[in-house]
Amino acid sequence: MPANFKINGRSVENLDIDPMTPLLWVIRDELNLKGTKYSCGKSLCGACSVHVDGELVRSCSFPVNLAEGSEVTTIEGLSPDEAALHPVQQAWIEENVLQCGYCQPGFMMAAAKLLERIPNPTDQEIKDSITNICRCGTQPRIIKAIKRAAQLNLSQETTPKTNIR
Amino acid sequence: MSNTENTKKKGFSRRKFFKRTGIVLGGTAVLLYFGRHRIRRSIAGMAASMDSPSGVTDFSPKIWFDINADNKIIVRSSKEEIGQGTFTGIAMLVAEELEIPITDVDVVPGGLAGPPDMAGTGGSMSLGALYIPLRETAATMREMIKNAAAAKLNIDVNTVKLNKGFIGSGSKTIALSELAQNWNDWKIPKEVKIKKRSEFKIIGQPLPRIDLIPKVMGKTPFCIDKSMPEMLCGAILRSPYLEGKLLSVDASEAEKMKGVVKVVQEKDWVGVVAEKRYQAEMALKKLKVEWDQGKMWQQEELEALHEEGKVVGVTVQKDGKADAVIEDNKTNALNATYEVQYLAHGQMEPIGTIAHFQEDKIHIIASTQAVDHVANALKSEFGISKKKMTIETSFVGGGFGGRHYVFHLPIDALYLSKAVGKPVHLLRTREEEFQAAYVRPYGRNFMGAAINPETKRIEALRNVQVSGDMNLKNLPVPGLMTLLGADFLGTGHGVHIEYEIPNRFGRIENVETPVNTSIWRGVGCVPNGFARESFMDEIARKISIDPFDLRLEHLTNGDDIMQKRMSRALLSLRQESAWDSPKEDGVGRGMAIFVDRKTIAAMVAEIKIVDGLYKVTKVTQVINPAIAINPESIRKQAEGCIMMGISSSLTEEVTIKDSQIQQSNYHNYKMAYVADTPEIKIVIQEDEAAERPYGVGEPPIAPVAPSIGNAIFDLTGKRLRRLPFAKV
Ligand code: FES
Ligand code: FES
Repeated sequence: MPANFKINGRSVENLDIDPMTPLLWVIRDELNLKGTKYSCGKSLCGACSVHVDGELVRSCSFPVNLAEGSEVTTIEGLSPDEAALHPVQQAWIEENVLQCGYCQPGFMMAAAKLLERIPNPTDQEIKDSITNICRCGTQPRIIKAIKRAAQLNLSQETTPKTNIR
Repeated sequence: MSNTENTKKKGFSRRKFFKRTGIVLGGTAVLLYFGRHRIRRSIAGMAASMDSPSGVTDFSPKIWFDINADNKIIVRSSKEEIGQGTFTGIAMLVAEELEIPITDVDVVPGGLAGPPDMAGTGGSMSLGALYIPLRETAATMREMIKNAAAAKLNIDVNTVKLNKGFIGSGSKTIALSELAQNWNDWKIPKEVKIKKRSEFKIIGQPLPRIDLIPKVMGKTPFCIDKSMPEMLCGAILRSPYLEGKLLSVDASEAEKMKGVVKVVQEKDWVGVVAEKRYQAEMALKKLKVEWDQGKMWQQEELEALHEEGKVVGVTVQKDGKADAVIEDNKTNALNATYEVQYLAHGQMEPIGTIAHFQEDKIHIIASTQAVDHVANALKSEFGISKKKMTIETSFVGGGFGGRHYVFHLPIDALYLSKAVGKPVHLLRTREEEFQAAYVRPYGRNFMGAAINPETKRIEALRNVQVSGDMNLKNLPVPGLMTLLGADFLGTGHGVHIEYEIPNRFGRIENVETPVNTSIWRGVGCVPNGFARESFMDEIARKISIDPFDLRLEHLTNGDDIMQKRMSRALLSLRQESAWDSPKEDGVGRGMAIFVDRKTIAAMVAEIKIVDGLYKVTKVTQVINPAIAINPESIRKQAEGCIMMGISSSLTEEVTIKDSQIQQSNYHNYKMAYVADTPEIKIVIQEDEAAERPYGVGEPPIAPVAPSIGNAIFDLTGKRLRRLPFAKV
C-alpha cells in the first residue's frame, strides 16, 4: 500500500514502500532529510525523534503506515528558516550546547514538545522528561538551553510559531 | 621545543613552500599545501617531548588553505571534528595570524590526500600539536598576501589589511580570489613573526563553535548521511563469539526477500546487500548462520588472567626501593588491588562506511578517527596504491577512541560493493556496534605504600598495572608487543607517580586475552587515576590527615614545575569547592587530582544516595592546560568528561558470558541521562610562561572515578575498589 502523509508542510504522495518500514528510514533515505538520526534503532536513545500530528515519536520504532495521513515535522521543519528560529534552536545556539551534534536534533525535537506541555519547566521536570541519550556529555547545557528557550518563549508569547502545532 | 613564539623565525624557503611541497591549481581555487617538512619537524619534536597515545612519532599534519571563488579562506584539516571543537580551534589559530575575523575562515574535513597523519585524531593533542606550526603557516600566508596586494595595487604594504575576503587599503582593494590568480608570483617572506600571547585578539576568547548553526539546523552531514549515486544498503554479521569462526550460512530465505540484491559471504563474516536499509536489516535476521564457537570464555576466567608477574612488562619508574621498603614496614604498610571493567565507547553515530569498488579504484566515505590507518589497511588488503584511492571523511558523531582501530569496516564495505558492482552504504546496527566492539580493556592495579605515622609522610608508593592492551595489537605492525614490552602509551599512560616520595615504583604488564581491546577516552589515566587517587585517599584516612593536605605535603619539596602546578590547582580547588565548609547531612565529599599529558585536572565530587543508588550531585573541577585557546571549548570538554566519567564510574560495564559480549544496546549498557547531571563548576588555570597548550579532551576524565569513590567512602565508610560502583 503506498504511503501518503505530510512532512514539514510538504505532501508525500503514493510513496511505494513496505508499510512496516520504520518512519526513520523513509525520512532519511526516501525523502532525503538527514537531520533525523539513527543510533539505537530500539526506541532507547531518542536520536530519531520527530513530531507526528503533534506527538513526540521515536521514528526508528514507528512503522510508516502509522503516519498515514499525518503531519510529520523533523528538525528541518522546526523553524521556517534560519532568520526565524524556533526558540529551542535559538537557545541551543545561545548556550553553545552541542559537541559532535549527532544526538542534538532528537534532543531539540523532545525539548520543543516538553515546552508545549510545561512552558516553564524546573530542572527536575527537565530531568524527568528528557530521556534522550548524549554520549558527548552535553546534558548540563541541554538543561540550561531548555530553560533559556522557555524564557524566549515566554517573552515572545504573541508571535505564533507557524509550523509547530 | 626550541622555537618560542616570540623569537623571529626563518620563513619557509620558496622551494619548500611551493615546489617541494606541491601546489595544485584547480578551478577557481588555489590549493596551497603548506610546509610539510617544516611542520613535520616541529611536530616530531613535540611528539618526542610528550606521550603520544598512538605510539607513532612519525606523523605530519596535513593542512591546506583554499581561497575559493567567494573569497573565503578554507582550511582543510587532517584532524577530524568528532565533537571536540578542533575545527573551531583551528579557525581561531588561523584567523589570529591572518588578522581576520573568525567568520571569514571555514574549516572542512580534509580526507586522504598528501602525506600521512599517522597520529589520527586522538590523544587530545590536535590543537597542542598545531598551535605553533599552523600559526606560522598562517602568518606566512598573511605576509605573502599582503606583499602581493601591495605590489598589485601599488600601495604601502604596512597599510594593507585583509577584510571579509578583500585586501588592500582604503578604497584600493582587490578580492582575494582575484589576487590568488597570480599566486605563482607570490613571494615567500624571509622572516615571519607570530604573535606573542599578549598580542592575541582571538586566541583566549570564549568563542562559540563554528559548526554550531548548521548542526542546530540539522544540516551538517555526518558520514552516514552521505551518499553515492546508485548506492545500495549493506549490513553485516561478524562472529558474536570471542574466538568464533564462520562455518556455514544458509541464505535461502534471506535471498528470497524483497529488495535483497545479494548475500555475500567472506572468510569471517556474512553480509546482505539490499535496495533499502530496512530490507537489508530484515534479511540479515533471516540468515541461518553456524559458528564454530571456539573456546567458551567466561568473565571470571578472563579476569583471572590479570595476575601480577606473569608477563615480561616494563618498569616505567623506579626511584629507590619501593617494594623492599613496603615489605620491611609491615605494620605501616598498605596494600590494595583496584579493578576497572571492560567498557564500550557507545558513541551515538554508529560506525559506517560508504564504499565503491571499481576495477582498479577505490572510493570510500568513512567515519574514522584515523584516515591513514584506513588507507594502509586498504592498501594491504586490495593491493591498490594510495594514488588510486579516494577517501573522504565527514563530520563524526563521537569517537572516544572507538573509531581509531576499526579498519575492517571499510574493507567489508568494499567487498560488498565489489560483489554487487555498485556503491554500498554499510552501517552497523547498534547491536553489532556493541557485540563486535573493541572494548576498553579490563585491568587491575596492584597498589602498595609504606607510611611513616610520625612524620605522616609516604616513604614508598608502588603502582603495578596489569591490563589488556589498547594499542599494540591493533597497529598494523606485527610484533610490537614483543618489541616494546608494554603498551606504555595506552594502558600504561598514567602509571607514573608525580608525588615527592623517596621510593617510587611504576610498572606495566600487558596480558594477552582473546578480547578485542582498544583505546578509550583518557586511555590509561582512567584506570591509573582511579587506583592511585583512591589509594591516596586510603593513605590519608589511615593516618588521619586531610586528603588535600596529604597531597600538598607531597608536592612542596622540590622545584619541580609539575609539582608546583599541581599545588596551585589543589589550592584553587580547595577554595572553589568549599572543601573546608560543613556538609549537609547525607552528603559525601571526595577529591582527586591527575596529570594527563601535562594537563592537570583536579576534582571534588559530592554524592548522595537516592533511591538506593549513588548519585553525583555536585562537581567542582580545576583544569590547567597551560594555555586556554578557547575557554568555552575547554569547559565543554570538561563537562563531557565529567558526564562520561560519572556514567562509566557508576553504571557502565561490558561483561562476557560464554564468549559473548552480553550487552547489546542502551537498555543493558547504561549510560548517563539528563537526570544524572550534577551541578558543575569548572575553573580554568593557565601558566603565564607557557609556550604551548596541552590537551583538554581527555585529562578531565581521570579524576572523576576516584573523587566519586572517595566521596562514597566519606559517606558510607565503604572503600569500593572496583568499577563500576553500581548499587549501594
Ligand atoms: S534511534 Fe530511535 S530511539 Fe534511538
Ligand atoms: S553531542 Fe555528541 S552525542 Fe550528543
